[in-house]
Amino acid sequence: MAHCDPQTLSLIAIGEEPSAEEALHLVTCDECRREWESMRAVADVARDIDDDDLMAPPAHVWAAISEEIAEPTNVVPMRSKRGFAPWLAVAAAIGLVVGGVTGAVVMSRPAPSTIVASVPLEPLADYSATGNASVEVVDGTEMLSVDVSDLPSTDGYFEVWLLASDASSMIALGTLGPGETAMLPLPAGISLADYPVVDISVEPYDGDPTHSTDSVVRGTLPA
Amino acid sequence: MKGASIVRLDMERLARRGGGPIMSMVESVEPADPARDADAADARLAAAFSTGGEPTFAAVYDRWSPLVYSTARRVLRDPHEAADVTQEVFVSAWRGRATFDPARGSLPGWLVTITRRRVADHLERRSRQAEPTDTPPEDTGHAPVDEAVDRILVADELARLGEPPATILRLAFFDQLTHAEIAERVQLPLGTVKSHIRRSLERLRDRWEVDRGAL
Repeated sequence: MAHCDPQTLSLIAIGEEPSAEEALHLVTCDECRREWESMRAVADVARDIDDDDLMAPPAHVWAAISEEIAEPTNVVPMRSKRGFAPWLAVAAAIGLVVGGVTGAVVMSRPAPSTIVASVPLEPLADYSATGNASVEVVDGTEMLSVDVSDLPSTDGYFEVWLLASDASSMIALGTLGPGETAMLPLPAGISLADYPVVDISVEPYDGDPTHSTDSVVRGTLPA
Repeated sequence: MKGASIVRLDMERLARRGGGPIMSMVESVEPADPARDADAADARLAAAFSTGGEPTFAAVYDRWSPLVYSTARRVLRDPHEAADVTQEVFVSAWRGRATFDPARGSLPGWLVTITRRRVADHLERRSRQAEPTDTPPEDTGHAPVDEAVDRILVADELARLGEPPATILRLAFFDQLTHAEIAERVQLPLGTVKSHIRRSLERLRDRWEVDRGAL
């Protein structure tokens, strides 16, 4: 006989009796049998389902989740291709500025500086490095001063970032100097309330300007 | 009656969405295939998930937390532990959302994969804490994970078939009526009932195969 039509196969799958001709066809035709068996498999699962199989979790679960995801610490930033272009441009612009300003700071030290905010940097994951980050106003310019110790050995380099508290966006401030310190100017248009998390990552020399996701230390500047 | 809570869940979800009144949403549903609108909404959520902010994430939680919670509850047989698993899964999902690629798999499939991992962690923790006894290993007080995943995935799809397909399938599965008896009961032509049964079964099967993933 010709192939069984799909409607007939679905009726047999939910348990209706095939005609003798259909039954014989199902034994001999692989194509129809596969179709029937795949529908019967899901019908067998569906038949057992009870009223209370599918239940929403209690309301306190969402409350706990939203509290936890609002917590800025130990959020691991991910590479985001969408975020790439805008802050690649920002990073490049800062890179140009860093050279000039860092030079100027070194030349004019000691300059009068006021510490605006300060936070200890705590190690992440397998690292033991610790340090401190502070926002200082030097000659009217807001700078981020970082000082770290016990950095891991690396074939790459260390980069200083400011992250949004949910790590959904970030700004590359510059690289850490050889003395495990850096004095980096903060871009004028940036609000620290939007980017309160200071993060230092290990970056490989792979030409990829995005965060490696390998963070060493982190701290959240007080609001 | 079988399936009553599934309907209730849907109404809750509609109500929680806020915005337009429920009745106008119902009236605007295409009579031909209500499940297609739901699919389009799911696809939009999945596409927005990896780059979306908290509102998108909240909508994803709304849509798929019953899947995660119910699967964990079925395996672990402990509502408190299932709530913990749900929290762990969605916190992981939030932190790892940039790694989700809608082109490579379905979002519920991705969430189910994380759920499997977290549930396995809990089972392992239990077996470490358990005192060594004479209890045979098969009597560990939990359901097989694959079976739970299959069942809850299909339950979720069943809840989204809309009407009349959901009623028709319920009469076929739970009341074991033939398609002729169903046609009589719901006052629809025989051909319409047959076509609903075929479309619904194919849909359940296809979604199930996609969402259970390559595991």
